[in-house]
Amino acid sequence: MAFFEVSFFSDVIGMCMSMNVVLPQRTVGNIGVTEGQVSQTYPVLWLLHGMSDDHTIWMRRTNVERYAEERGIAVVMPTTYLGWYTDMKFGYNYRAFIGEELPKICRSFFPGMSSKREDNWISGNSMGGYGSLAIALTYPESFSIAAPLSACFDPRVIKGSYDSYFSDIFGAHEDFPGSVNDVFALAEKLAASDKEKPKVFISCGTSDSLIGQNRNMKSHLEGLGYDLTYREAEGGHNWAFWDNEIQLVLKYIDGIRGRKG
Amino acid sequence: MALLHAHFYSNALHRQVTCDVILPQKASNLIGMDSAGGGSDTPVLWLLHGSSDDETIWQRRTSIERYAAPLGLAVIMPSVEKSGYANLAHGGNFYDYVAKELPQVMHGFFGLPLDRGHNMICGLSMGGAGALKIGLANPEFYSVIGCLSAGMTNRKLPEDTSNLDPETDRYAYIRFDGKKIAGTEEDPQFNAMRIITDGLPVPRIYHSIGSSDFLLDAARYTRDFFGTFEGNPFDYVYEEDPGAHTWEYWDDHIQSFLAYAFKK
Repeated sequence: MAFFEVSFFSDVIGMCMSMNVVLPQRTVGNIGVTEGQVSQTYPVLWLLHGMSDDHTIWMRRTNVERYAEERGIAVVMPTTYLGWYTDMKFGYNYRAFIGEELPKICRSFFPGMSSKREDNWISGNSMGGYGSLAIALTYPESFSIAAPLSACFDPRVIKGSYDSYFSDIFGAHEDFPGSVNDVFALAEKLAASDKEKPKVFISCGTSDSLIGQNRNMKSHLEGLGYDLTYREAEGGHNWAFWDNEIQLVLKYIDGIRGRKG
Repeated sequence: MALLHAHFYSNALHRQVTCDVILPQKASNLIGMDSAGGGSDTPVLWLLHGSSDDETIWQRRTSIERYAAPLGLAVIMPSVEKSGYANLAHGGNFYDYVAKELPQVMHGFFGLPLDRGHNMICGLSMGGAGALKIGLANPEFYSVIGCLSAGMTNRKLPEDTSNLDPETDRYAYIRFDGKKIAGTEEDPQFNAMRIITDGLPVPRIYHSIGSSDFLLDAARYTRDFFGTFEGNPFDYVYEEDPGAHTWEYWDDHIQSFLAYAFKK
């Protein structure tokens, strides 16, 4: 497995950006790891961080490199800072950056990254859970699986002193329902179109304050006919939970790919 | 341009290694710098550090990224400790790592071209000698060699490697103890002559050293050696400019090397 800390330029953001990348590598004598089969082209997990964090956090708080290594897949960890993976009302176009520009940039740097829809999956925790579903629903031709973990599907829970922070990203509270940032509405629009829908894996801890939103999203997606796998488990809004759940996301994807876990 | 700090496993060294990589990236909204290139037609510079440094040093002490950007050039900067880019008698196989393994590994990650028309190697001091050594031993891979502030061998090679003293000649002992030098990759004069006598592809060579550099004798010895080839088949260029063994010299002369390498 190889690990890259990358500084690069985004034309969409108009700024130098950072990302971390894990890439499959065939090695001999690397101690204590199980290498999966390394192909010429490999699938990519796009893995998004939550509020308070950045592109380094999944490597620091979980064992995601080891889980990827067993499967011979790449992991790309970009950052939106506190931008919620949106095309911000007053700010940067993070959704276009990560959903549209970044896959092209990554494939130009790393030609082994597969461009096939079936080989591209997106996951994330908390704000990144929201982002993973929002991006998959906005660019359904590019991502076949979305796996939001402990997601904040309705950012309107951000209130009080966060009012101007919220409106800089999403616009006014009253304009939010039905907007491009309303993932419930995005799910409806996509279901009503003739485009292929992503498969969705949702997981949330039962002591997470966001459990209600996740239950709402479950019934919403089921009602719209999405191929949904929903899971609740004991746990809160923390990295012990996400280190466990990301393994279950990858096992879920193993099942879809017909790979023995 | 993109800068990547790469961490990966080396089969030659049996451990994780670090390597800095600059990749060309054509950007439209980038301020203050032209950019070009990207893709499978990318020229590649293998850029070697000196004996006190590591893979980060060219980035920190020069503006190499800015010089590479308009050329659409990828730059690979490995780290080899104080090995002299050698397969050490007592230590790791750093020559195999840089000269044999790294091109394949980087091709695997980035799809960089493996033909000699696209590959060049340069370095300073220990890396300057390393670039000459690696380039002359692998003329089928590198078409341009740059040697800054060094000679082919910065210290005299031992004639007998069986009796080196680990106390008084520690450097030679670690590198050469009991090893054959003549006719191997550690013998750049042999490899240079072999290129001509065997009709191998001939790399072009740029060589520069500061006129007050302490390695001036080693550089002049190398200059005299390449002066013995009739008709200058290596397109060998030698410069002694005012300056010493410093980053001001290298920031300046890495640009001279690139001008030489890319001249039509």
